[in-house]
Amino acid sequence: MAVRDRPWAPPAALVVAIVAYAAIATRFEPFTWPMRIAVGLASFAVVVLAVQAGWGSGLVRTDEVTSVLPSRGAPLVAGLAVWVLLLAVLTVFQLAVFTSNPRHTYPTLSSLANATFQADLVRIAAFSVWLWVGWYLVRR
Amino acid sequence: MLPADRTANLLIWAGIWTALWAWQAVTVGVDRLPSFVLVVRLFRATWLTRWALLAGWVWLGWHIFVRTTY
Repeated sequence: MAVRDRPWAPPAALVVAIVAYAAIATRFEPFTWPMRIAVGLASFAVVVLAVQAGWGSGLVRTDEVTSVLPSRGAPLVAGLAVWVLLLAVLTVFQLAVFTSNPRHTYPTLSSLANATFQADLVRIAAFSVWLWVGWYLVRR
Repeated sequence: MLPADRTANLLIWAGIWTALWAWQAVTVGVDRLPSFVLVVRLFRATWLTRWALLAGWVWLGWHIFVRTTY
């Protein structure tokens, strides 16, 4: 299957680069300058890619709209409404537990992730997924 | 308003994520319904929403890897 058929799949060299960067970055501790720089550099690189992809110009990308909207009609609107509802429920519940104490009784997504992030491989995987999502968002 | 019980709140989290994944599975199976990928592509369609999406991605990385203690 060609890469063009799988727009979510980065080239093999990029996969290696992403995992290598994640493996190095996750050696650093949270709340330290090395980690701030590692996340900041990756964010800056993705913003540069976004600008190169033309994100700075054009209020509406008609190619994105026309590839999504045709022949969907009411099911598209209904489906989007369900997504909005589900994401709103997630956001409201996250905010509700975030503003409640103690954290053990009211776990947030972050506090739940903390336990799994003790393992190096999980941190590397999470950082890699974060980098991949950034690439996916700004790919042409 | 929230139950003062960790297990109950964990069950609510499980319910929310199950619903999200179930809806994703449904939308992937039904051609005319929008999957999560399609929602993201719609967000990429306008200047404001695509930059909001990118800002959310930056915030998420900063929050998880810089501002959260493992």
